[in-house]
Amino acid sequence: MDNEAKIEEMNAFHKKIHENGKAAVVLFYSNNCPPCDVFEPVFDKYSMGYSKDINFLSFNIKDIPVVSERLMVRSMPTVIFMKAGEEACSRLSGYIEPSDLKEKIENVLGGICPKESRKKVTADVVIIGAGPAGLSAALYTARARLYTIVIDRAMPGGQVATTFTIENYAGTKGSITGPELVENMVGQVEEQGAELVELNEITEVDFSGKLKHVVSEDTDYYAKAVIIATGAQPRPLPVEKEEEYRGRGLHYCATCDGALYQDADIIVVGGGNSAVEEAVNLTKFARKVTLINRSDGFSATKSGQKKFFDNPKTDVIWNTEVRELKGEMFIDRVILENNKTGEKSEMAVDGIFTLIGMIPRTELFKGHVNIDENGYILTNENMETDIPGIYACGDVRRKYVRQIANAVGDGAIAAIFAEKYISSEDE
Amino acid sequence: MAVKVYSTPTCPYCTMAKKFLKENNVTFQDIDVSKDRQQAMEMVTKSGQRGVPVIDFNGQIIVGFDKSRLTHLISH
Ligand SMILES: Cc1cc2nc3c(=O)[nH]c(=O)nc-3n(C[C@H](O)[C@H](O)[C@H](O)COP(=O)(O)OP(=O)(O)OC[C@H]3O[C@@H](n4cnc5c(N)ncnc54)[C@H](O)[C@@H]3O)c2cc1C
Repeated sequence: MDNEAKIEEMNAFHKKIHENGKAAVVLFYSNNCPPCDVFEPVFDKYSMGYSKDINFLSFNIKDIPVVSERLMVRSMPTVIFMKAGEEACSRLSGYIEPSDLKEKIENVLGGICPKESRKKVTADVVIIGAGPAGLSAALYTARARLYTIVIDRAMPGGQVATTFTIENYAGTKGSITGPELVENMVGQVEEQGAELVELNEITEVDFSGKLKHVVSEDTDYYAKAVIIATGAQPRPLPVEKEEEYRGRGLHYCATCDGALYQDADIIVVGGGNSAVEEAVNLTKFARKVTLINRSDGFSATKSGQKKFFDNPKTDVIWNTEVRELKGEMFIDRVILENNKTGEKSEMAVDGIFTLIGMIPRTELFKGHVNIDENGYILTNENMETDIPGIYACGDVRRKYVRQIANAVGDGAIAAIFAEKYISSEDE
Repeated sequence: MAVKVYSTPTCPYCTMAKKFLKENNVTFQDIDVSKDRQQAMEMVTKSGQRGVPVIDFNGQIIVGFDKSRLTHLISH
């Protein structure tokens, strides 16, 4: 769409809503949106009662994409109140209570909008975390016509968003890049009508009521069921000054920062699949990649190991751990220790990529659901936690294998049982 | 106003930072440090580190995608 058409759409919108100088109640809805269907008769009823004082208009967002984008209409349905060309009072979205709509209309008419900066959204299912587990769950609940919101503190994809290539996930013609797989998943989920909220960290939960309450910096989410899919984060390198050297030679994301190490000598710490595979990927940039492994063999798969040993730029030091990081501004040396002989040595390096496993992101759920001593959430094989209506899936769960394939599987199971739970509660 | 984003194409936080700036109608120069070594060096000197993204917002250097800091700079 060119600029002129955009301006035209905006102007037409403003002209329409204030046709007779009155304030307006504007409803944005979309196709395939269960809460929109529920809300429509409510909106019609109030429009009959109040249309003398205030304009009632409704738009399908596909007809006014520019306006929807400018007004940042993200949840369906959303009701916005407009007065003299400006948004008045706060908006309503999701499953909207008739009483909330009435109260807002009265406030707008009376010119009294109590300052409430927080948004409130009510959904059928809230999914915390948009990694493969959360996205898979969303696909299932959205297809079950449940109003689904997936919330992520960062952007969708989780660990997959920062993985170069994935070669062990079925249905990808052998290999797919992480970002591409994420894009496919997100597209499919949005197509089914689930709503994705990025950059919104959940900081608090309350699972005690019938409606579960999930809190972010600016929004209160309520849902009949909650699916926890917060995954895991990289385990920090256990050495002094770890934090000080982050970004200054110490990295955890090879995909992100690898390109800054052109022709450099780098080390990778670890020995599992991620470490061995990322070491090979880093040879695209680095002159030499040395793997520092604390035991005398890799736990990575045979095919991963073969790629590693076939690559002329890789090398490995066995039975060795990083003890100290050194350097003025940037790391330029590390002190290594052979854990068999106790012998210490110094090695010149330009950078270190650490891939020594993950720790679950469950701090937020402590005291709310059962968590084991390592921080993993306990579920049964239906992904049910000890609290009815609360499910966990993917890397946050206590389990033996943590891969995309079973994260996606977990997500599907959690969604199916959440759906069963909701329909039994609704009866 | 001059805003520069030092990034790599494969870094999701870079994508996020650029998307955030676009949404807030901030025009910026996008610098791919995996292609341009001189600019990569400039980024390292400016920020004192090697992680991307780095955002030079009118001379203020922001390392990583720091949403609250960016919001603050945009609104002032
Ligand atoms: C370098 C690397 C390479 C890998 N390679 C492979 C591979 O080749 N094949 C394979 O099968 N597996 C691979 N894995 C493992 C795989 O990526 C994980 O098993 C999988 O991503 C787990 O999915 P998840 O959805 O459970 O969690 P995650 O992918 O960790 O996603 C969790 C999401 O939750 C969000 N989140 C966390 N806390 C909050 C909060 N409080 N509020 C809102 N959002 C929150 C996070 O931002 C994140 O987006 C690899 C992992 C790494 C690190």
